[in-house]
Amino acid sequence: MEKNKISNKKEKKIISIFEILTIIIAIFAFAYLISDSTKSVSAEEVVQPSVDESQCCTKTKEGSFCQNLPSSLDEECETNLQPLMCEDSIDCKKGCCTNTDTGICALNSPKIGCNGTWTDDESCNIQECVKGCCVLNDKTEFITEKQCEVNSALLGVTKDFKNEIRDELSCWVLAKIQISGACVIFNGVENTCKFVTENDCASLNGDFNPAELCTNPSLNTTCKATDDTMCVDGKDSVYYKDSCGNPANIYDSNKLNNPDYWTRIWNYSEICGQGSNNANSISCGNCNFLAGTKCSAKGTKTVIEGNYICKDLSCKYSYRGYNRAIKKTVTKQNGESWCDFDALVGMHEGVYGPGDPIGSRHFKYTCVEGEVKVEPCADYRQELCSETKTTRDDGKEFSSAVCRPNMWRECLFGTGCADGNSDCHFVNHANYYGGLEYNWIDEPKEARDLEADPTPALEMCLPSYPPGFDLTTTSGYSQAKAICSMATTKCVVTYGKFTKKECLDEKHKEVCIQNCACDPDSGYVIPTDVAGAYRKVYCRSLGDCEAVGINNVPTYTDPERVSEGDKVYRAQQVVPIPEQLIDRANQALGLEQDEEQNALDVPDYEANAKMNYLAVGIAGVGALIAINIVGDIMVGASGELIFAGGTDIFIAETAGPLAGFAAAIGGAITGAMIGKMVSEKLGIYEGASLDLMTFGFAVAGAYTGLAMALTNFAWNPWITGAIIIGTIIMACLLNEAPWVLEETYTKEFEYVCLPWPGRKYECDLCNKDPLKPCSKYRCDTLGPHCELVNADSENPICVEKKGNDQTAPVIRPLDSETSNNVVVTELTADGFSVKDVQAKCMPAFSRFEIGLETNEVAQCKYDVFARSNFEDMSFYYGNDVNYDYNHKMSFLLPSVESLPSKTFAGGNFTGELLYRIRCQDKFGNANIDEYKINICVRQGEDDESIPEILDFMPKTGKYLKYGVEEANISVIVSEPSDCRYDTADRIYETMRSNMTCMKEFSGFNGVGWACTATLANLSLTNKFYFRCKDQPWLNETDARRNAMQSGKAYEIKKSAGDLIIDGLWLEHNNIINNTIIAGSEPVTADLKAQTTGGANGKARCYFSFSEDRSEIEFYDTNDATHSQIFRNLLQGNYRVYVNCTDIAENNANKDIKFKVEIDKNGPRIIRIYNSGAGLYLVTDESASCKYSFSSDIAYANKTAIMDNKKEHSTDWKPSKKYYIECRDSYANPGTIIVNPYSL
Amino acid sequence: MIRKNKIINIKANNKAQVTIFIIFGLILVVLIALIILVQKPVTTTTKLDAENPSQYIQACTRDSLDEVLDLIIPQGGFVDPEFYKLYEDKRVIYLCYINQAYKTCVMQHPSYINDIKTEIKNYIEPKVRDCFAKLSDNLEKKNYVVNDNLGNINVELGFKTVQVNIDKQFYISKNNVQEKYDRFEVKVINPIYDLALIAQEIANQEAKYCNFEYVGYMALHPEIEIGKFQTSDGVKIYKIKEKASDIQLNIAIKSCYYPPGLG
Repeated sequence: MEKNKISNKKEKKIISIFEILTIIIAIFAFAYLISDSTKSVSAEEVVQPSVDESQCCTKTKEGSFCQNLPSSLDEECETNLQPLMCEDSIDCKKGCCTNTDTGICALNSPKIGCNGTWTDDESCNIQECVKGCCVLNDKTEFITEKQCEVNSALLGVTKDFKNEIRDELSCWVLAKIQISGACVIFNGVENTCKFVTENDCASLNGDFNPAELCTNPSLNTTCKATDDTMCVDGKDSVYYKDSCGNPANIYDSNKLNNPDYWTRIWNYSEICGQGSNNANSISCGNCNFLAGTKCSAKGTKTVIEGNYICKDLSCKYSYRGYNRAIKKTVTKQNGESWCDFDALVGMHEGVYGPGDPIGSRHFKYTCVEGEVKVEPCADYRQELCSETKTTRDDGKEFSSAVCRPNMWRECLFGTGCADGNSDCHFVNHANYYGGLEYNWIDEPKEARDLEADPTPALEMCLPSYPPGFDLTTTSGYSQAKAICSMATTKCVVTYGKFTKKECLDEKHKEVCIQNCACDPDSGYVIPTDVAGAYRKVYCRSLGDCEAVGINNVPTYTDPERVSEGDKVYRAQQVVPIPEQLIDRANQALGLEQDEEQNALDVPDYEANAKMNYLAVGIAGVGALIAINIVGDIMVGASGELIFAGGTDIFIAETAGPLAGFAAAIGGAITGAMIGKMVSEKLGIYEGASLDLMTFGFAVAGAYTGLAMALTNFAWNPWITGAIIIGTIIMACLLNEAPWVLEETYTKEFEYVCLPWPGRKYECDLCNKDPLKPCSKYRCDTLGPHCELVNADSENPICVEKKGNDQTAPVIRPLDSETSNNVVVTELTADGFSVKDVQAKCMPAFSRFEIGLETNEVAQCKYDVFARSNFEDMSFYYGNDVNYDYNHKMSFLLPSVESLPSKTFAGGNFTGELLYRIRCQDKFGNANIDEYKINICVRQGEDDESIPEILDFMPKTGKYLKYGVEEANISVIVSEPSDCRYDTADRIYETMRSNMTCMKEFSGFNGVGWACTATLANLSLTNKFYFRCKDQPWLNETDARRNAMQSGKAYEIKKSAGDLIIDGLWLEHNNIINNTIIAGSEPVTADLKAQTTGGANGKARCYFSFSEDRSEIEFYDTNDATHSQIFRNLLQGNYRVYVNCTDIAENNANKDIKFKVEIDKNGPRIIRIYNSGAGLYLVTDESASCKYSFSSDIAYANKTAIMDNKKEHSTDWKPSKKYYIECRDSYANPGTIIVNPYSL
Repeated sequence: MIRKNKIINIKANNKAQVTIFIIFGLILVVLIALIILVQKPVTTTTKLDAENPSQYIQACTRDSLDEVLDLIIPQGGFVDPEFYKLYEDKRVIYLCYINQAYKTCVMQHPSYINDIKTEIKNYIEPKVRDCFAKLSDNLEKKNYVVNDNLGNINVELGFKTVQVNIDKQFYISKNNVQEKYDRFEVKVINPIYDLALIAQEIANQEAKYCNFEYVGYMALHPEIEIGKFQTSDGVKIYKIKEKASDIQLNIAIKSCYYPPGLG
């Protein structure tokens, strides 16, 4: 036990000493490692963002306020630069500006620009700026209380501010639950009705019936059910419309004839299409904006009733994945946003390395009511698109995207990796594949299958999304160069010169002994260019950088040997270095053993193999000698057995088969050993040569041994001498002299990372995808020959710079912009002809568009006469002066007969038209030879087109003014024609009434050709049918003329009666016999008007304060009821003249007189007495009274007297002097002094 | 018989004289009309209505109001923006701007709505005065006596409305009959106030969060469409459109700009 304890103590002591030694060694080791990494293999210098040394400029010369400018730019400041930052300036410090009139708060506002109240709180965390929910009729707004007050006043409603609602969504929801109902208004004759909120109904002086419909029979209104539908402002769904124009329940064709569906608002659970957005449903109008549908005109879609439908607001989006050959289409919901990119983005460790190729950008897309909108994130990849997906209640995924800043600076200059910033990644191994160093426009290259680098020399926090650089400016390039240079590394490789003295020779070697991986010729095994790839990743991760020679030659180059860089990839054999040599080398370098192992990093399996061979050889020689000696002993002792082996010694006193076999084995072993040694001396280490040499010597040794045994070879001095000499030679050969490190030297290798040098691509590649619009950065990366035009527009275009382009645009037809009723024929490089779809000449009066495409952005002109150059041509094609690829123009063709002068477009017209086109690019290159479009027009008998009535003036459905019995109307026809009309739809020839028509081509009015007529003998409702017959220049009966096959209906109505203003009154809370009594000026009152009769009961009303003064439209009008708030009424007499007009121009006038009185007199105390202990007062109007015992007490501080309208009482103290003051509801005072003992 | 014939002849002569007088009279009327027409040039610009001065002022003011609104709305609410970003050939006002990288913007128009009011007022004021001057000239030509003072023009913005109040004493008299006008009001339907409120909200959020989540805003306000365009130099153009009227207010904002390179 005791012994064990002692032993343990000893062990602990040893362990402690070892640990102390380890710590001490570790200190030096770490110091070395740190110095090694910083001095030898780190970036040359760390770049830091420039330090701001700005001063505050109150106003710059370009017009901006409160900007910090570098003091060197003081000439850019309109005022003098203040010697402090704007944050510290009284004028420019950011605060909160509250507008006292509007209640609007502006954050980050300097004091100097604030015309309201400025508070020292840039985030506006003050009470005045706290937002709540403001209810404004049936809508809500999330605004400040003051804003609510102002906006309510503007709308003439009472302020309803709910400050307990603190988020916009809740406020929005509140608007959705505002209850509307039938507001029944009796107009003196009958009940009219409006479907409105309770507030609105109150303002209409109606009887509000919540959640009931105007068509409810029990309300006895004039409104009836119809099968018409409507959209309602602020609502999602399609609603039935009653005969008064009010919305009813949500459109459900199955419930149209259900009487109950027209009585009340049905609960949502009772409505059709539950759980669906009812997109394009023909029978159900239960749309849901948040679920992707909204009430819209049905267009070409079909519905059972009405003209509205739940429009599907979703979007189709096509995109290409990483393999950009494959295009996918996805459906996105309305309001959904998502990201798309040019190529793979971000760091893909172990797969592709850094994505985000040079020139690429992140894009955010949004689906807005069926249309995909693009929002490019900030260029130069300063912003990244980030997308999240949530699962909605209906199980569908919903994505939301945002452009957010790329925090790449945090990786290089901050603590991005330590903070776990997802925009950074820490590189500590080299399992990368090289990254996407191609330009964003290229197809991605295949990833290379590389193996891991065992010893990466660089460890650093790198951006996962390499930023872009502006390499077109001097400062931009120098900054980029500084950043890229962070991946430029210098590596100092140490070599040793070794010498070895041998028996007959002295050998020399130069071996790399430190940082050997940096030397491509060091001879160390580098399976593939992992180190180079690693550095390439490092370089690309920094931004738009490129490792020099990255595509063709290796990146790891010695300044003197750049051209020899391809040697890096050549795998070489390892020079065998004996183990002891490493010690020597390490000793020579003065390094500790552990470090040397790392520094040299020499694989030791070959040294072990050499030791094995040596051991076998020594064993063989030893066996020979032993056998020889044993043989001697055995011969001397028994004379029976002699074992011998080897090449030169074999003795057998008594020869026998066993002795011969043993001698042969010994000889073979010794021979094999010698053969191996000789081979190695000859530089043969492996392969067939080595095997043959070893085998040959082994056979020779075996044969010699056997021969000696079988011939009973005699032991003699000569033989012994030869053996000794041979043994010495063998010993000399076998004794490996150590390699001695004679001297060391170093070489410096440099890996260079520079900004992207740029390559020449086709500039037009930037313009191909309208959903990935071009930008300056993207255009710049396609090469210095490209430049961006229309940079400050939504449609920037990348073009070749002038000087590079000396060719004219090439013109060709553009099918996608050419109408379907024409075809392009006889296409040549110089033009084409246009025919109809049957390859015939175009019908006269046909309308179509012809699109042209140019191979570069250009503007195009045309003329019908030959002109010598672009400038002389008369008209821009399509009247478009912009440069573009696509050009489009509309054509309307005449017939020869429709042109009395037989001229068209300035030239003679015989049915053939020739349009001569020239297009000019931005650099003034235009086609010299005209590009020609030939158009021929069918004449006479070939005209088979049927005229079409395009429009009526006035529109169908027009009301005529009361008393008007006739109406002048015009029809617009698609070609010159004769037109007729009748009250029934008959064939053209039997129609009874003719119209007066424009019959020549020159009568074209921009839409068509007009025919006019006067419609007479009209009833209240009238319907007419119109038909036209073309080619009016031909005889009436000419068979070539084409007449309409069906009549176009037209409806016109007369007003049943005159418009009447049957109600005109003023509303105020204290109005008696049109006299408003108020306490102070100005007074607010509401003027109301009610109209009936006329066309449809609705009218627009105007007012003025003088019979012949300008009329001002009522704030709320265009209906049967009209209202206007007066806010600035002063004391006096008023007369307001009201004039109303309806759509039939029926007119009505009325006026109202009213008076505004301001009560400025205080209450009079008409009686005062005491009764017992009480003092009693009586005033001549309702009042509030107070008293004090001193004259200098303000009313607010006096003691209240118990009031009961005009009667007032309090305690009576006879000895006191009462100073009594009474005030009416307008705060007008009346006073009395009651002296002691006076009552 | 002879006498009778004579009498008849005398009567016939009288008829002829009357006819001649009538013909001369007609010729005279035609000549006078022609002289008047030749002397009075036809003009389409004069719409003066001496009988209804207020209607003239209202129409005249409305014209200038429509003109200034058409001009300023695409430019962010300013007639001649001093500090702007060129976008689609329009000078779009910077509502919030910072010239330094990485920082939130400084509000350039802390009293934005008031600034817009001032812009409108400054633009229409001389034009309205010109309206009055023309009206006065016209009335004086018609022998009216015109008395007026400088007056005061006030612009009010409200939901979907712009109202101009002209407080001005404008008295005209003729033949001892005097008419007095003290106030003229003109109101047009225009969403500039509504759009400017949204613009202010965008600027506030950009100043606070470096971003405005317009997609969500549009979901809650379907009557509004907001577009965003970002230029290479980090300027954001917000396009705020009232769908019903297609009227679009543009504003420019530069906030939290992250420049390429080291900035």
